[in-house]
Amino acid sequence: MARCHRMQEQLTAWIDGELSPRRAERVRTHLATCPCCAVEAESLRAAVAWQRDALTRVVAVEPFNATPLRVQVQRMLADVDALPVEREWRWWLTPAVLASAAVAVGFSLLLWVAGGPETVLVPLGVESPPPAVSRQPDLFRDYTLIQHLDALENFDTVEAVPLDDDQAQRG
Amino acid sequence: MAITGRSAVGLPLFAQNWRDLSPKERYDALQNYRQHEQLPEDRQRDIEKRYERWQGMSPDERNRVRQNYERFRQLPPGERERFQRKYDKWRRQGDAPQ
Repeated sequence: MARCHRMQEQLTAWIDGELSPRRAERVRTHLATCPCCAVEAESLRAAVAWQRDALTRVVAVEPFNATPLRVQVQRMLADVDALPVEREWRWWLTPAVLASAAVAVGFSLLLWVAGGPETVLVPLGVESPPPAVSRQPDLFRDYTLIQHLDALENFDTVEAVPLDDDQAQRG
Repeated sequence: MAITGRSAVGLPLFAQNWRDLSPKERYDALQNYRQHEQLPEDRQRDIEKRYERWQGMSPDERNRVRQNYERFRQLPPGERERFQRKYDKWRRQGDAPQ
C-alpha cells in the first residue's frame, strides 16, 4: 500500500514524461502488476489529455474582432438617443405638471368669473384697493346697510304704514 | 332701490383699516364700490350723506340699525316686497328725513 502511494505521487510526472528512465520503468512495472494504480493512472492520463486539448483550443482562438459588436452597440445607443424625443412630448403628462396646469386654468377661470385679477388680488391683499375704498372701508363694507339707512332706522315706523291692499282686505 | 345685498350684521362696529377686513369683506366692499361708481352723482352724494349720518351714530344706534337689517333679512320674500312698498309710501308721505 505504501508502495502504491509512492507510485501514485509520481503518476502525473510519469504521464508528462518528466521521470527519469529508471523511475519511469519502475512505475511501468508497478502499473502492470497493480490494477488499482493502473486504473488511477488511466484516469489521470484521460484528465491530462482533456486539459491539453482544452488548452490547445483556447490558444488556437483567433484574436477577438470587436468591430461588429461596437457597431451594433453604437446603433443601439443611437436608438436610445432618439428616445427622449418621445419623452419630450410626454413630459407634460406627469401628474405634477397636470396638477399645476389644472391650478393655473382654475385660477384663470376664477379671475375671469370674478371679473378680473383685481377682484381676486385686492381681497387677498396682493393689490391695494382703490383710494376711495382705502379711505372709507366702513362705507363700502356696510354699503347695503348705509344705502337703506332711512328704512332701517325707522323699521318699526315703516312696518306700521298701512298699504292700500291691507285696507281693501279689511273692507 | 330694493334692500338686497350682503349682510353687514355681525361685523365689528368699526373697521379702522382696510387691513382689518377679512378677504370676504374686502371682496364685498370692492363689489359695493363698483356698484357705487355706477350710480349717478346725486345718488352717490345721497349715500355719502347717509354715511356721514352713520358715522355720527352712537354704537347703540348702529347696533339697533344692524338688528333691524337682520329683521329685514329674515322676512320672507313677499314680506320684503311689502316692506319696500310701505317704505316707498312712507317716503311719499314726506315723513322720511331729508
